[in-house]
Amino acid sequence: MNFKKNIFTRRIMLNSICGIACLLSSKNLFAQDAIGSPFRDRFQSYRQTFRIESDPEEAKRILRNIIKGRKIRDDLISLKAPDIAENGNTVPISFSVNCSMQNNDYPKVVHILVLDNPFPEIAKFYFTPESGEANVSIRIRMRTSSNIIAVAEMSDGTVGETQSYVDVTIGACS
Amino acid sequence: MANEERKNWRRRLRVPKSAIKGEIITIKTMAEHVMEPGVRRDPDTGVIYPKKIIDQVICRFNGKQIYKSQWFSGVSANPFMSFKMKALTSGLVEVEWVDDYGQSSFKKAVLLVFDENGNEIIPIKLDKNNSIKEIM
Amino acid sequence: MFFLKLLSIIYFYSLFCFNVISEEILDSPIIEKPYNNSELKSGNYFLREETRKIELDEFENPGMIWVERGEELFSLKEGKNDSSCLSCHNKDINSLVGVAISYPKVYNDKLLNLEQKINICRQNKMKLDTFELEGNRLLSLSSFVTYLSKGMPISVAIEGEAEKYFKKGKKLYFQRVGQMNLACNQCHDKIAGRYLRAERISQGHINGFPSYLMRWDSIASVHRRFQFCNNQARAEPLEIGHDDYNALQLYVSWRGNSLLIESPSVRR
Repeated sequence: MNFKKNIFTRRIMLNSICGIACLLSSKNLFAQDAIGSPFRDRFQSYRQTFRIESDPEEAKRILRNIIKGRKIRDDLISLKAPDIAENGNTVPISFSVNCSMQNNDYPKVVHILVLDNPFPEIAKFYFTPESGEANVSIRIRMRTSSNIIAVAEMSDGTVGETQSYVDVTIGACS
Repeated sequence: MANEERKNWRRRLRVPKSAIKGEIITIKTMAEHVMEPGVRRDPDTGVIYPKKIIDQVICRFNGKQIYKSQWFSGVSANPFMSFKMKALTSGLVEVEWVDDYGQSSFKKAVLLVFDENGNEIIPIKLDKNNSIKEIM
Repeated sequence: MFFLKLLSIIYFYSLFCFNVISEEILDSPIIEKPYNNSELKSGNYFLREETRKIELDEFENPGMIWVERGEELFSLKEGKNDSSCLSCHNKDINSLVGVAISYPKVYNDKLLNLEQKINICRQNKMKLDTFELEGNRLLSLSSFVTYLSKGMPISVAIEGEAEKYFKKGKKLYFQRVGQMNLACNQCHDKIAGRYLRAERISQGHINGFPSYLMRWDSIASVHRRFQFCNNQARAEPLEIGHDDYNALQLYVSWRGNSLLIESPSVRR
């Protein structure tokens, strides 16, 4: 028997019409021109890969070199820093050294260090007796949640140190 | 966006206009500076932005240095710093911001200091004959 | 039977394709706002205490650097006619106090925001070159003009000429974008106040713009912030000054109608 099978059945017609309709209207499904079309993965460039990684051993070595084995006085310097930093780019901190600022009782240098930054030293402050009070506020950058350490070297050779832990977090989306 | 060459990066200084002798005043400073740490990269080309930070901030009162601060790359951009000074005589407060390329910018303000009776204290020391011995 | 089936499939499929279902959102009354006036909270409310303190003090606020520069640029004389903004807009005539509360508005059949209007003023009235969009000088001027209206409530107009832009902006607000398939209303209308990682989601008002954003260490305009939002949803961002962003800015400003202008504010 030699009859041709009818390939144009109703089922095939229906399916092919639906398929063509799908293809023609796929513009709205994939949104090629509208806001939100797929793109090359640009977000990789936002992950700025730092070549310089933080070295906690190096940071501790710097801290040891500043203190130089001297005995640390309690309650010499107090540091005020937020618990959670809104943004790592701007963390407002302030410190205050309680001393009389007369004769030989003033802080010669005050160091601020952040242990988990790629460059741990943040700032140094030099005071004189005319300063009145050793009370400074400044805004620093932190790369990740870490300890901020403030070390005060007095002019008579004693050292005071205090620490404060600040959380730096990643916010929405990213 | 920030590629324009601008020569007028702003510096701001706030010093109280007057004070009583012996009072401790707050001096606030702010500089407009990008404080590039030398680690960030351009997102399109991958080139590292060169390091450019403010190195030292020096405060002088009547020419004599009373406060110095050394900064490294950890200070935030557009840095704000406030410190204290003891007001003994009237005079000129001058703050200098020194770049790590050696360039400085200055900002000055005048401070008047009065004693309890309201007389202004002038930075001049007189000797026994009431003639000028030293200008502070 | 077969014909009915075919017709019904084609009918429902066309409904799906041509977004007839989503038109319902546009047909609802425009007056219905997600927050009524007593529930409106500026972005200030969702920040931590230290950041709020930075914004309140006019000296410590880094955005004031741009406002001061804007004031200088306002009176800067340029060009062969020695024209400056101050020659037309001084305190007595054409004062710019209260101008920023009604932007974006329609001018010559085109929706403009404050930055584009400044450029048009420069080109037509002062016959000078326009500023680069999102450049420091234009941002300084626009933050200065917005600072003059500080403390006044936003009141943008959505009737009349602005109605079609308002409808477009509303459609864009509810449209899902990006690889993450997020629409603005999913976060800012429904779950404002809750935490997304470590940030509190704000209600998404722009009463503080042009604002100092800590992530970029400079003043940013609304369009740059929209670009960032699009990038975060892994969507293709449009250029600064695009008409879609202007329409979206109109809708978002209307959403925050009666909030006081706080520019230059300090945000993350």
